[in-house]
Amino acid sequence: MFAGLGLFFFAMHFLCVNLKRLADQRLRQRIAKLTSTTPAAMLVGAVMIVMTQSGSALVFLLVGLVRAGMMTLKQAQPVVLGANVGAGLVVLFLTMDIRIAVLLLIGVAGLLYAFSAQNRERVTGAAISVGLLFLGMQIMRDGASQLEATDWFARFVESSAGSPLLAFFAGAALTFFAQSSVAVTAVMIVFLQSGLMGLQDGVMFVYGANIGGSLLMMVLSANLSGVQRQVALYKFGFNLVAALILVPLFYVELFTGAPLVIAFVSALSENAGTQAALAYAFFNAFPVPLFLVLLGPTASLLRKISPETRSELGAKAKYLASSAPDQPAIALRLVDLETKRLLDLISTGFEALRQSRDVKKLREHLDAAELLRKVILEALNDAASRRSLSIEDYERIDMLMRVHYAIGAMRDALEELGAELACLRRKRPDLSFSDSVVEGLDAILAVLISVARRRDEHDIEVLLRLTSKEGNGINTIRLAYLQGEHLLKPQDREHLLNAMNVCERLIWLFGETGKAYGSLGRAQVELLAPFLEEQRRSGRVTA
Amino acid sequence: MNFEIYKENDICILRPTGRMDKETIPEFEELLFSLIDSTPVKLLIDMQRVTFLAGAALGVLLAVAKRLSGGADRLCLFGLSGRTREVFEVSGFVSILEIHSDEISARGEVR
Repeated sequence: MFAGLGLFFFAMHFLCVNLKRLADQRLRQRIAKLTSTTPAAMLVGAVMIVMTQSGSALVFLLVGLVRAGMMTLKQAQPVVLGANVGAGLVVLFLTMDIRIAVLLLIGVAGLLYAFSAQNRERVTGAAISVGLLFLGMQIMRDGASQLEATDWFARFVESSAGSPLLAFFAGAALTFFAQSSVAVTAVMIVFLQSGLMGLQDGVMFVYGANIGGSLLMMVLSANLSGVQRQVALYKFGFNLVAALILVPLFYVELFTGAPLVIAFVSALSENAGTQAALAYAFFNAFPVPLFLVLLGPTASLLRKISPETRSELGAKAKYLASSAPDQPAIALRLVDLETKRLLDLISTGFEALRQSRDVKKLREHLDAAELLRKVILEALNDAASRRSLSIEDYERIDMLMRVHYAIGAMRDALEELGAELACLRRKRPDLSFSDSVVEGLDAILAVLISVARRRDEHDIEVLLRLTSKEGNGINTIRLAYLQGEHLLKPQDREHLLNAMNVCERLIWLFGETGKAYGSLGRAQVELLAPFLEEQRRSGRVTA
Repeated sequence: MNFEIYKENDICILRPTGRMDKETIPEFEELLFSLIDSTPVKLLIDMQRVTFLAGAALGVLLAVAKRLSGGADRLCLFGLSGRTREVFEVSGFVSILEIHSDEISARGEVR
């Protein structure tokens, strides 16, 4: 049983990793389009959770879509509700004996994983994880049926039987630590099917498991902000409402004998495991109509409790949020404008580098910028795949690609620099290097942004001098620090050298981006004017 | 941030004191442009009493240098030390702007 449990959790983790890798820009865009109406959004949520069985993968995807401006919070809410209903179906599915299908799935997916092309690895990886998940379930079920025969276990179950409140807390605690109400409920179903637990205890265990999942989400959301916290709070609110209604109803049924949830699930199935699975599905489905009616007010409330962060607001696509224009030249100009916003966003990220002793804020900011960069890259790829492109268009695409690859590398370098500077600030707060380097790099980036905006020849010349081997001042700083006057310990010296190397890389990347902009030539804003005017009139782009 | 201004014929010496950060930079920028807009000038900035220098301040200095370039007007800085000098070194602005070790050297250069 323990081996089955291990396999189950391994498969869940592996599935989550593969799904995150699968969530590329095209998939995101498809999902964003599919969720345009509430019923469709609910269906997307339900299908996704049935296919993936991973709430965290779904939340990851939704947060990404909302942050990138491809979906509103109001659009994401029905997806969460649909996922809740889907989770109930997953638990029901787990009660069925599908051993042959599972073994077949693992066999086919395993062979494809080993022998198919590399780009299929993510899909086959996700498929094999689903198979392993169910296999883990089956092994657990076999193990639990043997457990029933052992004396000590039977005595333990007997002593705790008949205490629904205890089962409620056990479900909550187990889910809190195991981080998955589906997984914990699946284990409990094995116990129920083996006769190791009664239905009343099982139902309260299910309620507890759902509350445990919410508590976990609340604890995690204390460190979150913006959209991530909004989605976490929404899930928490849903489960809280469900528990506040269903737990009192359970005791009403227990003490008065009125036919409520237990009577309802007993009427639908005679199998104890299926009954508990139905209770789980009911918990996750019955508040859905209420939450659907309150979509607007709950969205406003969530935005009030956890407003979008500055970086999230900046990371929303402004020029590329609507469908791409037909003319490739205009589409490329929009990409160009959005890219300038991306550089501004990276520049505001320097605020997180100032005086910071941890990299969490910087990472959040850079992740938000990365979402915008992906949206821009997708638009760029879309423009590149069009027919009838002129030579000028091709040149522009090539240059914009170079700019974007440089910005992608800047993101990695900034994250690395943030970690090194945070470490130096903790260990050697007396060193001025960390503060100086942030201000120095910010100054060069400001020149790059000016180049991106105006393509002024003087600015390009200045940027190229600042980022040339001769102009780059890091070497002088390096020599000054390493001449021993600052009495550095070997470990501190290592961090300092790493930080200096990353700085040099960043300065070089600023220069390469500037060179690419220099080749692009002056922005022909006049070409965009009629298009932007139309967008403004329709309210898609603000002035 | 406080500023002391000395004028001597066409030479103007500006001595800022305190932090040059996002709160004080707009004031600094306004003052610089008012000084160079009024009359032809050789502007010398004494950086000795600047305790903190934000990257954005370098952008302002660059804009002023750009405006003054091409004619008889000049922008020179002197008195850079410690952290302020380090920001100039890291950014590479030491190779773009005219920097002197002290006031005598800066005055000698612009005369």
